[in-house]
Amino acid sequence: MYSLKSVSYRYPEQTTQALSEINLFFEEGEFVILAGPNGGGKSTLLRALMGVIPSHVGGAMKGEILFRNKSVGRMRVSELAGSVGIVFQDPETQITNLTVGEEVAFGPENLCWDCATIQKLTTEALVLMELTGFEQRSVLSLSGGQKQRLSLAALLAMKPEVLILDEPMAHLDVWGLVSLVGAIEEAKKHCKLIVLATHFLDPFLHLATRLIVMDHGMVQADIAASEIPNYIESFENWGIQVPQILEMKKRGAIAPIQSPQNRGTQGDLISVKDIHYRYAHDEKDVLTGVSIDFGWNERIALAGRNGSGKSTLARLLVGLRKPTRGRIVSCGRGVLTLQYPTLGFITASVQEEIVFGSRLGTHEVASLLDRFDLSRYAGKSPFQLSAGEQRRLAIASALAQEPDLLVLDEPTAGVDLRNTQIILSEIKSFAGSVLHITHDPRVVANTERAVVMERGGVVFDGMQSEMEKTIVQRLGYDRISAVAKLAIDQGLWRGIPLVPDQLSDEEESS
Amino acid sequence: MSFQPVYQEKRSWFHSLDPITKTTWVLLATIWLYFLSDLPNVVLVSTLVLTVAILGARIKLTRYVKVVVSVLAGSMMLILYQGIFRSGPGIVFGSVRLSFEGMRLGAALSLRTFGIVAGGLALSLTTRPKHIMLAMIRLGCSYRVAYVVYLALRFLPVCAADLQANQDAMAQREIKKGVGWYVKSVVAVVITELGKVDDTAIAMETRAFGLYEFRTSLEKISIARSGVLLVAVTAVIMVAHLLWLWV
Repeated sequence: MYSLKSVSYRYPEQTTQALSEINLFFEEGEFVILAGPNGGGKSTLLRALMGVIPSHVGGAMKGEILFRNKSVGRMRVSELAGSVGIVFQDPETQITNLTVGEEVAFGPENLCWDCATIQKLTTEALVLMELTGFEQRSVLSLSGGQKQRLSLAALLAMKPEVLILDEPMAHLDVWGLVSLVGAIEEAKKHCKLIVLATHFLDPFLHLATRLIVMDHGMVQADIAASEIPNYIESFENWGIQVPQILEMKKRGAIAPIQSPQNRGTQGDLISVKDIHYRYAHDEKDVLTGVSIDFGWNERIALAGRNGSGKSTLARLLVGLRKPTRGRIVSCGRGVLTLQYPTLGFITASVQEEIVFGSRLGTHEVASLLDRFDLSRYAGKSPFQLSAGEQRRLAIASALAQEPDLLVLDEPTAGVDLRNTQIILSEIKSFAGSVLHITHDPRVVANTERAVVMERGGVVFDGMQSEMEKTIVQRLGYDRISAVAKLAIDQGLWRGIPLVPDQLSDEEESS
Repeated sequence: MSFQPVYQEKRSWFHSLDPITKTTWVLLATIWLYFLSDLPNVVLVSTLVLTVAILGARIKLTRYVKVVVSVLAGSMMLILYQGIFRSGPGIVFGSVRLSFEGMRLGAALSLRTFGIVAGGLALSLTTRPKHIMLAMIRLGCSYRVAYVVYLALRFLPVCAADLQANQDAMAQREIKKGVGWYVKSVVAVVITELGKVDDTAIAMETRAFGLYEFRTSLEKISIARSGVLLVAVTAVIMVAHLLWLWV
């Protein structure tokens, strides 16, 4: 279907190749997982398949990409749109309409199909992605998982032969992820080829027919899915997380990660008493009577579904908002890093970004840059860094403020194994308390205490190692994923996502 | 989050009007104000437009003032600019001389903007963005251009949320509010939004936007009689007023 012949590409004003001598063939019926570290070339390759590179970005491309024996370079992106569809990492930027119905009909309307056909295809796509009844809903009211399902529905309504997915799960909670996996399973029945870029192989292994690993713009490995278990030892070299399910099967059992000893003392740093919070434009409270204490030097995971009130609580804890009702007594200073780091950058260079507002000396700044592997970018604009580097800079800047409580909003979203390791290692050595708002089991495993929020309230507050057992008891065994069941059966707990098999739309959106 | 001039589900006379005549009415009001440059007439027409907007669209005066305040700095600059560069009698502040005629013209131009803002609010608060887009297309605008207006309304809440996030980040660094604070905040958000605009444009093209000269629309809009009446009455008054001024 697709063939790439000696494809090389360099971004404008860059000296290194983003893609280097890529030779690949994609056949009908394949489900290809594209893995590899940040900056390895995955997204560039996907954009090249769609014809977005170099036509929209510029730069120099060599070689040829053929789709059904036609050169992609000679076609307009919109011409390819009827046959190939792409879902990007951030649903916010690709959903261009205001209601679910308008969004799904958008593609077929552009293709000038007649109204009856559009109506039929829109209805089918909504049914397929379990969004029936959502037609008039505002896209702004959807959860992360629903937005990604909507993006898929909008593409499927155009009846594409090829589906390209660029890390569509980066900002999703566990429920959003399972919802997306279900949607992709459905999409697989209707598309001839699916190419998916991801850092997490676990949720998609059962669908994959092939794994391609990319780094430095080159193909490092191209193996059939059935061969993946034989390559477990190579995963770390490739900069990819070993799929937990394979690790379990291969080694029989994994020693459960020992949660770090609880080194904190509760109740000293911040004390939250029965707080409520309501945004000016909202009709109901986002936080409904939260009471919780945070001690000095604690490591806490704050989990819960999109929209459960985590980010609002974080803003209240660091003093950016005042509770509508209730009281927060704080004996220390909190600093929050944002989920989208670029929104927090306010200076022209990486070094200034760290220095600004901090009391650190020159040597300490240099050391911080070094520890976060940012020294070589010291003079560069924060906006020119890669996503992983921006995330590291945001955390380094927050640490430079010398906070007593560091609140990290999704510190590893869309970040590869190496960057995650750097971030986790630096946070480990930080002397203050850390509150992670996260869906990433790797981060959860590095905490001692877990707080779970649901509908504006705290539903669990205890040892991290107890969290999932408690949730299993609440949800019931038959509502969790196969991976989690296997882990439970073997007595293993590694922060494996617990996945309810079926959730009603009402439950998900609430 | 601050007030955003986007569609609000409410009951008002403007809500019941069709988008085509509402858009035409706003265009008429804009043209009318464009032809006026003397202060009393601009005050008269702007007040008329504002009154229709407040009564017809049930816009709260406080909300209108909030929007107007955001363009007030520009208005002051305009008054000063016209005052400095127009000749005639005026007042002197040190070495700067401001002419009365220039300041009157500046004030008239500013009030013209306030009138147009009132009309624009009456349209945007009472009409679904999709309908504004469809009305623009029906009035002869290219769908590619009309979609830009639609996208602006779609992304306004997202931009507001991003701006809030950035200001939170600055508040954490204990940066004092001032001109520099606003400039930094706006620059950071503009850079972020530009990246998003790029991604959005690509996302639209990957779904065949712009492939053909025309596109199908599932939704149809039609003209209502009460809207025609509003446009007709406005047009008659406008023509009479302009003829009275010119002849």
